[in-house]
Amino acid sequence: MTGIRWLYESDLPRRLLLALAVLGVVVVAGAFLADAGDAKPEPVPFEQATTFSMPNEDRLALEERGLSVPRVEVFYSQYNYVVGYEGLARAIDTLQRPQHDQQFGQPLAIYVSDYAGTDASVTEDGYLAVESDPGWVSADEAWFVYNSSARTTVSDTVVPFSTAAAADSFASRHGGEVVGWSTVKSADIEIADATAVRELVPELRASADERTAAVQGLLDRDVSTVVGEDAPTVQAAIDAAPANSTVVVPNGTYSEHLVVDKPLTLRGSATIRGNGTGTVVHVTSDRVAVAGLSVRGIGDQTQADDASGDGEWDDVIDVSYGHSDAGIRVSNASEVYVRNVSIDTPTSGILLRDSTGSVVDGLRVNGTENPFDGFMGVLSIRSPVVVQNSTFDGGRDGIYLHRAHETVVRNSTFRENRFGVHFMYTSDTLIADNVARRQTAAGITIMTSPARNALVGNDVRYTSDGLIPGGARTYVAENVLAYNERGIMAGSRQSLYEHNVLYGNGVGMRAGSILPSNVVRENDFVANEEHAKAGIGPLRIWTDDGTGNYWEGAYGDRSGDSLDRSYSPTNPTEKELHRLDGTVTLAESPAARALAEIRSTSPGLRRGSIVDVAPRADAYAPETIDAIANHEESDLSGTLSKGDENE
Amino acid sequence: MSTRKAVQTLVVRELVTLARSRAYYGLIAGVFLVSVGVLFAGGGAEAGYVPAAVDLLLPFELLVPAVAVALGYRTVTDDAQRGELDVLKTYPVPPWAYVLGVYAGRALALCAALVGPLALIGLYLSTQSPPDPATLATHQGIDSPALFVRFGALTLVYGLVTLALATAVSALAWSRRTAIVLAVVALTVVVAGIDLVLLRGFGTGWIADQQLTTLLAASPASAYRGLVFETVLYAAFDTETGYAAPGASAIGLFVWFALTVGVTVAGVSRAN
Amino acid sequence: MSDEHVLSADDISHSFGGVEVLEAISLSVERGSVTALVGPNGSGKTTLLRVLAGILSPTEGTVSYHGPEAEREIGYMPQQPSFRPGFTAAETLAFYTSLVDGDPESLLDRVGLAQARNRRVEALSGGMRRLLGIAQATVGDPPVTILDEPGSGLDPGMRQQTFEVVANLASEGTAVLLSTHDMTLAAEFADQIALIERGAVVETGTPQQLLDTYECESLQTLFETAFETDTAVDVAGETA
Repeated sequence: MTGIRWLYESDLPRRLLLALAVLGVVVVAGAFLADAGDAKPEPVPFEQATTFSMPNEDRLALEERGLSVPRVEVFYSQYNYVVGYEGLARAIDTLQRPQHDQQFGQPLAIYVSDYAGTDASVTEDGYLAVESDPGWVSADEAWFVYNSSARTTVSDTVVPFSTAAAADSFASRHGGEVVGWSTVKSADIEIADATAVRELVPELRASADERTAAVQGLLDRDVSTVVGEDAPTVQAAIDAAPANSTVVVPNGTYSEHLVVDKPLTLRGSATIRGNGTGTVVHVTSDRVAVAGLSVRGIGDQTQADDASGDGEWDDVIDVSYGHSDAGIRVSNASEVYVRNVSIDTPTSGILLRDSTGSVVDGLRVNGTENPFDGFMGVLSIRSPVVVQNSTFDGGRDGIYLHRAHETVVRNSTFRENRFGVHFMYTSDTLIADNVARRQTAAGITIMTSPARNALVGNDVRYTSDGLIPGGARTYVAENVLAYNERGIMAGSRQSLYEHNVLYGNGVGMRAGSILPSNVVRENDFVANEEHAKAGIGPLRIWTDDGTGNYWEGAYGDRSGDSLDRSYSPTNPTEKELHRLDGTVTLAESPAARALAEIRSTSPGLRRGSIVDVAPRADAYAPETIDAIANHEESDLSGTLSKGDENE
Repeated sequence: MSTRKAVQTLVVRELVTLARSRAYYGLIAGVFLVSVGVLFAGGGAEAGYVPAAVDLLLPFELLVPAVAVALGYRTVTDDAQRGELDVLKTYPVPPWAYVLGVYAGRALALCAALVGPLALIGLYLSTQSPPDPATLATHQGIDSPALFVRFGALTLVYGLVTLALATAVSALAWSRRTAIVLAVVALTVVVAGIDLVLLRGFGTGWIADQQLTTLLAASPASAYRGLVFETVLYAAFDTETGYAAPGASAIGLFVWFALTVGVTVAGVSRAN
Repeated sequence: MSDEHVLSADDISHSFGGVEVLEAISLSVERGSVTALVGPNGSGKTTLLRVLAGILSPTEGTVSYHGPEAEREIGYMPQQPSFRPGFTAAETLAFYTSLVDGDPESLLDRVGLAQARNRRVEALSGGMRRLLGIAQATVGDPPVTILDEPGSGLDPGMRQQTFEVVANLASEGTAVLLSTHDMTLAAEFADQIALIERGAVVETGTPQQLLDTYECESLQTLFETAFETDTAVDVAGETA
């Protein structure tokens, strides 16, 4: 009784309440008066930033020469990670993208490299050389030299300085004008993106055709020597034959190791069997052709004991990979043509070192049953090669490319390897219209961040990962990924994924990189257990300028070519729309719709979310989808029958 | 006894009534559950203070008036029906003091129901750190507890205004059934109706572009939302403005408050 | 008992929705006395009490208070008082005493509710609630206490007790004005009875005066004579 009466009549509760109210008002006033935008973060060491970076190969090469690329660090309001860019052009290009704010929020602070006091100069080939490392300056306080002779590997570069004097001095020596941040950040920046790679695809195909045409003539050489008739052994025939003639090898098995050191064509249906050690056929001359032969008895050493590098940055790779025993080894020889050759090998099929213009056509490689016992079907070290119409069964990797820029691999089949095609430090390459089945790791993988590769029209099924396209500005289009554990592991950046069909995979496409910078448009996601997944990082928006993807299960009213309702493959309800009844009802609940609204408006905040704001109403390749659905079990042969698939 | 003591008495009685009511605790639990549910479904809880505010904004726009109405809609009605108002007329308690006391009591209860869960959430958020691979640098961005405090304060203000509206309804209604009907109507008008009118006007053109932000202040829900956008979500950016005229919004909310309190006092004063 | 008129009504009329509920009523109460309004249902007793209490404004006429200055001048108990649930009797009274002044305990004692002080009001019987209502009406020791049908709906024992409390109040100097159907108790305890029918005072006076005026020997006949309607009046303590 005294309790309530005391509350009614005592002064204490009133005073307590008043004190609490005053405290509350003070706290709130403090919260409103405090300038939320005050604390400007300091730049962090660049290695710790999450970066949009150049191909590893390019950077390693530049570092070797003491060259410098201007860097940018951006602190976004809604994104915890510090974002780094190598090259101002890249930074500006990204900042200008329309969906950028929605994904990251506004930039809180932007820092650029400060070249004042570094004795910066431009080398003959246009790179920036410095005497000391640049520091950092806030972008809005910096002076930029625009349009000078300096460039990076991807574009003309803009060089920032913390003082006008340093900028002027640089400009007077190397050209260009001095401007401020507001000018620079809205400048027209020419920077190649993946659509440029799309334009390159026909050029690369044409280049492959040209290279093939260039070696065709090698098969027309006059026959000069027949083994068995004119010479007792194949090697004897080679030694005796005049240059630019054909040596015919009649049927039979020849237990020899061959060295071809002059331009010759070796032709026949014979088998060349080595003694189980080392390479069997060693080509050291340009314009050699090997046609129709089978090669066996190859050594099982994947590394040579006496190999050493030549002082370049890739020596380690060269030594570990570049001296494997092989069926045919081409060393420093160009325009070599291998046609309709069959190789059974415990290690490598064909090893090319520093060879240009070579063509491999109709090769059949039979590797080991267990990938880890074998090696590479075609191993290219710094040798741009055309590989077409070939099959690679077993072994470790079907094709391994190291710095083999402008290689073209097409119309070939890869079965039961670890990787079908394995890119390392290789850019500007086209892999087109191949078939891959039952790789233990991936159909095609691109590693070490190269650039401008194109994966087009391949059909990959029953693998662990269909495609792992790494690197930057990778163009991934028109591929069929079906019945894999994961269709595409998209670890690349600034890449373009379009017109792919992802059917019946465990996960259709997995967005890997922390920074969303890929364009994903007009792909068909059908019958996957999960259409798409993403790792940590900001919201991924898989719609390009109003064009989204086709998702089985997405619904809404048709509005032009799109549906009027956004679709999120990572939303727990929506991702089941194509698999479970009742989800439409749940997805239409006000709560679900409200959450969907919130999700699509606020930047950079959601863990592993993907949203398509304008899903396509129709699939891009409906006939392809039907064909896959109808031919479920048949395609183990791996033969590419385009007629069936009606692309 | 002075009027000040009378007001205290009235405040305490409201608080004790609610403190002894299980429904009140259910209400707080409901607010808490909805907030937590939204945060975890939306993912904002892991991301920071501002993302949490973003997640909470939409549901709160509906939830807060609902809570305010639940707390306030029969405050005066019950007293009137019981003859309490008549009896109080014989005591030296002027109508304004009665309204003040009753409103303040419910307002404190509303405060606890809103600020309590938000404070718990804020505490939880303060223990969260974003996922970060050890080698990558992170920074706090524009996220700060101060912004969440702002959000809480604005939410409370919104609640107080709608509570005043609910109390006004209770003063005008003459039966409990009428009270709930009137309250729902008032709630719908406040939360959706005015915005719908504005949408229509904007769509058909009789609201000019420049007038929009000022007119938004006329709707308590939009004023609340606009102020949250302006002062919480986009606090630091000069470029990100124009979500609301903060001054007009604040005035709008205050006008609603004053009007509804005035209506309540008038309703209580009139002779039966 | 002195002769001071503490509260007086002059020509009070009250209309409600076009209906004249009270018609030119004049009445006054003296301090330390009990005045009873007696009349059938619908005669306007409640309205008159509310006007006198200051809760209702008369459409014509004035109500004047001539008593001593006090924080609370007129106390009022409505018909069938109802209290906010969830509080004990003592807590309920404490609410009212905090508004003016007073000690809930002694007020409870005065009406005989001391042993019920920690009982929740929902758990009080009708009679006890009535007593609590009377206690509420006396909070702050108002010089005038107005009670609307303090006895109706109670069993005879409780009704007797109620009126005894009322008499005690008067003996302490309070002017008590109440309405009732119970003619017997009115005659026993009231110093002044006002007969009211259809919004007008038919007759006022002490019980004896009334019996003389109407030349009746029993209360029953008094009622039948005084009122035109023969309803709703209770003579021997039964509810109408």
